[in-house]
Amino acid sequence: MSAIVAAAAVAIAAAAAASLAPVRGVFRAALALLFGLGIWSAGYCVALFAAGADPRVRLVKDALLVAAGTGVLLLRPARPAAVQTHESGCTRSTLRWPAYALAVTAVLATAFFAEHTIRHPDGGWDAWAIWNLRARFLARGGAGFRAAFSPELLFWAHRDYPLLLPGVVAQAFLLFRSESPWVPAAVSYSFAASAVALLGAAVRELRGPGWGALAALALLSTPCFVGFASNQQADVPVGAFVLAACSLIALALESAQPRTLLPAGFAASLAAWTKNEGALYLGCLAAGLLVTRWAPPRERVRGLFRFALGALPLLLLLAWFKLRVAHESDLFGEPTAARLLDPGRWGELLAGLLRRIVYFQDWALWLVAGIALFAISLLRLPRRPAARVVGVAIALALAVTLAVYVIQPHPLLWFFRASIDRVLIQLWPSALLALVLVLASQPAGGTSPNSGAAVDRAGASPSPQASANDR
Amino acid sequence: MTGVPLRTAARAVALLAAVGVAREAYFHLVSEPAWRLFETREPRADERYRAVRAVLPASGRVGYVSDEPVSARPGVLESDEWGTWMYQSAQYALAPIVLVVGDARTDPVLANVKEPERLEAVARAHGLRVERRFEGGRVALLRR
Repeated sequence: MSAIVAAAAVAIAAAAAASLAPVRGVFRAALALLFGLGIWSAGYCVALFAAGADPRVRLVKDALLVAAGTGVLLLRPARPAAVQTHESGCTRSTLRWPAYALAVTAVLATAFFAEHTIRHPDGGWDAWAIWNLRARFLARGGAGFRAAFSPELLFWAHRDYPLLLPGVVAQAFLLFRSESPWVPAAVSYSFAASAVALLGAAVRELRGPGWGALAALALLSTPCFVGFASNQQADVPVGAFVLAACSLIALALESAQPRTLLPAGFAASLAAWTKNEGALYLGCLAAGLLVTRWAPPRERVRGLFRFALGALPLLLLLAWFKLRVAHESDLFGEPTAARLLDPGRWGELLAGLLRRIVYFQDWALWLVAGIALFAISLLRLPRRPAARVVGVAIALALAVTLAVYVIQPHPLLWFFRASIDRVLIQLWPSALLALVLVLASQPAGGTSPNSGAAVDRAGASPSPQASANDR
Repeated sequence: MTGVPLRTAARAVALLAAVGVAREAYFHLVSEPAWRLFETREPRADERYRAVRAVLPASGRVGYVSDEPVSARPGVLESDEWGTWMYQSAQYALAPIVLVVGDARTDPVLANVKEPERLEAVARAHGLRVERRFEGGRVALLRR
């Protein structure tokens, strides 16, 4: 009974939340899965802290999600028109092999995922030391679930990390009455598959089907992507939510549907409820929306308001969690100004960064190719607002991340080596999206709010003769 | 120029994807041979602590002592990660018990040692006696 209600809660909450975005098909399905899992987990945490760990509390919570989702689906004023797809204009001239290559790569990636899961059933170090540990505390603890946040746990357990991923895994443990390692593995696989499907579908929507398959193939064949997914850590889920936010922002800016910024903000807030870096990415996306000249200033402020409104519910939950439950962070626990101004630490960090970029171990070849393509195309191609918003946000996020590396108290190179690949994989799907948005011109027939006068009034482009869609 | 031609991008992605998939295949099939998967798989933390979990309280605080140092403060790392790894894997297996590093005042106290011959010395150093051994003496319950 509880499993049926839980499945209905995920499905209906997913459908309701995804219905706020004007997308269809795979785009909507991937978005719905991400939103559904996120809402299910956030609802669990609210219910847990407010009413306790009794199974009846979870059942009532799921019933409320079903009711609320049904209400949204029935009462929404009108179904937002799906953005015009570019399929009709492109299919005949589109390459077919990337789709076949993507299918083959997906089969191989699934085999690699299964092999890695059998070999390391509890996932990577962070998975069992942080994420699955927290899920076990929540699932096993009953009324004593707050032990998960005991100050006597060592800082390695990162009790300040948000609860989206442990919330999903803990509920699945309780529903299946099993702590099989295949439960967190299946959750991790779902997030990874959603990220690949979302990237492919979003790029297909924005640039046409050939580009969609290429983008999905690029992500799936990035060597460490499958590894991180099978490690069951939170980095791929954060990356999926940030990608969802970036995709919806790009859609809002390129399709004359600024209301899409509302679900974009919600997606970004799900990233913030997944991992601390997610809050940084949310802030950077908001900054990107404000400072990039994609519309006149008043419209940008309105857009930012919509984005913030979408993020508000989960940001309130996050703020409560940080203030009342988990307010200590090992990264900011000691005075840090001296470290920030220490040129030696910056030199050490930059040397480590350069070595990481050129050192072909896990996936630097992809990174070098991305940077090279970006550098070559930046001056030669027209500036496109959606790509600029996402690009500015990613650049800002990396800049702040470097400052955090310098500020934090751990040995710098040890901490950098232990975490930089995970930071990059969080941003990599969105970086691929931004790269394709820069490289590929919009297919004819696409609608754009940035056409003509709006962009000119904003002073966004010095070349008014350029195609409106390519600004 | 308003964009890169799809075919040009496709050639670049094809090359990179081939390298990327080959890298993954090498890792999963050669570096860590798939045909030796079940011989080389890691033992789960749960297996090491299954027996001791059955005799520990279901929840609450339990002191934790070891012969290996644990990195317990941000920014201060011990010379190797053995002690920290042992503590974390025990905590993972035994949750929702909270293992309190260095606290020998609880009853019982969990000892988790790398070398079984050091168990008695670890117990004596904290004024405790070994009550019950598990896993060939690598894990033990200590009491006053």
